[in-house]
Amino acid sequence: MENSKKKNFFQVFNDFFSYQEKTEYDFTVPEKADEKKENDLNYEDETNKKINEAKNIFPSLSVNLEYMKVRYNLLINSDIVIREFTLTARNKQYSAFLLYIDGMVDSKLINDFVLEPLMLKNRANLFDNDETKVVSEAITNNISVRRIKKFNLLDYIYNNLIPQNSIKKVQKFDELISGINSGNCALFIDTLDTAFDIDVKGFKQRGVEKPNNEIVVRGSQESFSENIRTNTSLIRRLVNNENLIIENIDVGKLSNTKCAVCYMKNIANNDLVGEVKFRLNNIDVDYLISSGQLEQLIEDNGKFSLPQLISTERPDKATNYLLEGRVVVIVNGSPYCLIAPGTFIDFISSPEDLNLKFQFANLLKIIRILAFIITLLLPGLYIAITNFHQELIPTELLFAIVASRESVPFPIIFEIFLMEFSFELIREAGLRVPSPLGSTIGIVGALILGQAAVEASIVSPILIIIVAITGIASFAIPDFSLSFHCRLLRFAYIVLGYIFGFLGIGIGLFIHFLVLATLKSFGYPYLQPYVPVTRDYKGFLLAPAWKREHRADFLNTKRPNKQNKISMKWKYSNNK
Amino acid sequence: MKSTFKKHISLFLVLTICLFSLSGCYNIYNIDHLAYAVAIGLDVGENNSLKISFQLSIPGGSSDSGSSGSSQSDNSVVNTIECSSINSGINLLNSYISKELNLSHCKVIVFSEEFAYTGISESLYTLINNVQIRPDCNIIISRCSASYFLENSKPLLEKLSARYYEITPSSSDYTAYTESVTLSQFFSDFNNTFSQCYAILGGINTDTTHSTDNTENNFDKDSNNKANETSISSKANIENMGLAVFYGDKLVGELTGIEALCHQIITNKLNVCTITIASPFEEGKTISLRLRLKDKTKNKVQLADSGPYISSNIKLEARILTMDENSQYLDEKNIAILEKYANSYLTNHLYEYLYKVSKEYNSDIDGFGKYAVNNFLTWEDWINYDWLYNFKNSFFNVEVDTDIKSGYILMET
Repeated sequence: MENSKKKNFFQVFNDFFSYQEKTEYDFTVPEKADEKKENDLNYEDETNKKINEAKNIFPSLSVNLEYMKVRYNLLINSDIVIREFTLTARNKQYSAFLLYIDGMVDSKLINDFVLEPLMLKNRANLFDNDETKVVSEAITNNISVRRIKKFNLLDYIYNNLIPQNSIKKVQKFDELISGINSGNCALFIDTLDTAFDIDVKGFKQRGVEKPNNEIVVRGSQESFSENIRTNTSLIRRLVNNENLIIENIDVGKLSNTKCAVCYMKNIANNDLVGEVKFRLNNIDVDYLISSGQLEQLIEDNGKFSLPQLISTERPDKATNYLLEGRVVVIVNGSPYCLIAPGTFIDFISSPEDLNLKFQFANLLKIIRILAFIITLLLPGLYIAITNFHQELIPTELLFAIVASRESVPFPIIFEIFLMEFSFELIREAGLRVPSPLGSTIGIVGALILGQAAVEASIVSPILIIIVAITGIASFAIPDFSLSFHCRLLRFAYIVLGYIFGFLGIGIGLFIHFLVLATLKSFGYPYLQPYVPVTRDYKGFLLAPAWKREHRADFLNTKRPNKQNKISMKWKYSNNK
Repeated sequence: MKSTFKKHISLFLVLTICLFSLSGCYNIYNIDHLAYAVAIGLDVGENNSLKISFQLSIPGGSSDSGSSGSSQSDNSVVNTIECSSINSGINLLNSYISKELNLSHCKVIVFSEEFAYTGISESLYTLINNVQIRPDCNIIISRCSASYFLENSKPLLEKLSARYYEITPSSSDYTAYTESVTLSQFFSDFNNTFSQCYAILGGINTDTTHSTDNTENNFDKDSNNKANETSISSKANIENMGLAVFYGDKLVGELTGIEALCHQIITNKLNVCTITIASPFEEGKTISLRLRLKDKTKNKVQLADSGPYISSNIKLEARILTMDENSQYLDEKNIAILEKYANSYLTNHLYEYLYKVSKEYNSDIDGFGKYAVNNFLTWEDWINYDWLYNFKNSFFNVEVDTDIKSGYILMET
């Protein structure tokens, strides 16, 4: 009896602490595409339900016109333009109208290449052959048999009348409207149940500019912009290979935001690509504006503040990861693209690293790791030392701290919270003020406030140094999200250090490491390539450029090697 | 349902484990509420069994609190209490001063000579038992009273007496006139059957305490002093020179600077030092040598019927420091003569030292017991032999081989 009880206990123990693969999920995936479509339309209210029942374009122009007017709320919508005109084809005239959104189209394109060829009566267009064309004619027994080709207005217009490169025949309203919303113009013609979706996009957009937040000394000075096509072209230019696949997936029931999933067909792991596409396809939101939103929607674990997808505004960084075998997701309207999967060390590395000699890059890497530790732990360590472990610091430093605190009225914990809070305040205020005032905030905050606080004996100068070092260290972390993570957890470590001293910080670190070890990004362990150790583990440091033979092993890419064992053939060639 | 249950159980487990394991951490010592003693002095009490002195450092000091705060004044106070034990002394002081006494930054523990003669075993165990006192704080036996010693320790070059105490014993690294003895070393020497303990010999150097010894040789005067005897013209200040030799927990004798040097040669602790010997070339002149160990000193202990026979093979290396225009130290003959002089000088002092500690003090501070133990088959034999008692019967054989190199300048080409 007792034996069985023991066994049960061990089983329970094992169940708690052993790893179990997750098999149950709290959501269901819609099975049929149709259901999804219907779901999508549920947002409409009752009055508009009938409108949405119409799916195909009507043959009658007036019905189409009325339909589009209702669909686009033309009476109150100011920027929708409907241009009705008469179309001349083969000397016959048809009523037609154009529909487009003002500001999103290039009016010169519409004038010169849509309206002009359709309306003007040029010679070829005047030719009238009773709407039929005799293909061949044979007379037998006085009966003439003519093979004629019936005149097809749709094909004629498509083939002969609109000298535009990108033009689609569309029969469904939803497809057409999606085109209009993205800056195309729709052409309806009387008697045809097909409309033309003509690409005349011409809206104003930001060009390719210098990166603002990820600045490097040596390396490209281009950054992504808001337009998805600009961004994909930036990547394509750098990759320069036909194996780069850019797939489009729309996210958001209302906004239908275009997202591009980019990967190298001959490098990236199929499962990874599949997982990214699966997650993007199964997001049930009304709208999506930025990649920051998307990041939160597709990351593995939203409970922890650690970033799980790399976010970058640099095409060269994205391309680098792409060629490593990762997947890049670009969101239309957001100058930051996402890279999956992201592991811890990726957030410590900077795009500069690959441009530098490996010695410099490794030095910087170590400095950044130290910065990470300092920004996370320094205030916590300070409070633990001053409250519990005074014997650990040199006597002179201890006396310096005691002397500096002589006339400070607050306990250290309050002092440290006060300063950390002020620092975060200055940081936030500096970010939110209009840019001409930004430097003022820095001067007021850092210089005047800091010095005045010390002179007024509200805080001790040693603490100012601690907070300043912590702040500077947090700026040395290249990734914005990871820096945020440190800022947040710093407060937890301060509390732990205050309550339990080093023991508390130790336990905090233990839990922190547990979280890091548990976390996965798109199924890849977060601490890769260090934990778990894989085949080509080369230690912590970055190898020299000629020794980077393998792609990251944990990615399980289709091309494990990225360069030959001897990459510098000019040096070690046999011919010499 | 299952997962939430599991979560609650895990949370409960983590919390209970944390609560139990962290329950020892309830006590915060706020840095502002602590008074740090940088030195402790122990004397024989007049009305009570013990007189204990604490040198408390006053960081900052009220005089310059206005300036940015990081300044450290040299202000320190010495409080002396008559009490029955160290811990009751701490208690009494705590009731007197505004802050709580903390010993974690105590750099030296000073015993007065008088106190050390009566035995320091109890105090030693109490100090080792105290969790705040670091094992690496220095032990000084002062030739004056400990409170007088603490009161007169005025740092000459440092601002902070804590640093002064920390750095001063390290002078033995380049003078070898004393040795930096820590509490843990002292305790381990005291507690084993191989060796006896010894401590730094300290004193307050004033004009009246200077040595009046009229030795014939001038050059021997320099190093043949104990603490507070050196002729240094200065205000009263502490001086560490020589070693205090114990038998068990009782002080039995004191060694001079040159004897401390011999001790370090024998125990392989010599880093570098300067000795002065008579010049073999010119009457009345002296030559200074910079000495370091060339090889580890090889000690050997054999047990004869009359007592232990201890032989030491010492290999030294020296550079000539004293120079004049007639020096011809590149000449091998001259060097050989000098080497002979140096060897005989050192051999004499080593014999003197070894017989002093064995015959006069019967205290094996050199740890010859560690070599002697090889001669015994069982631990019981070793204990029955009572090495520490029998050490007085030992006789010695010292061989010194000094390898002298010329000075640093080339005078001939």
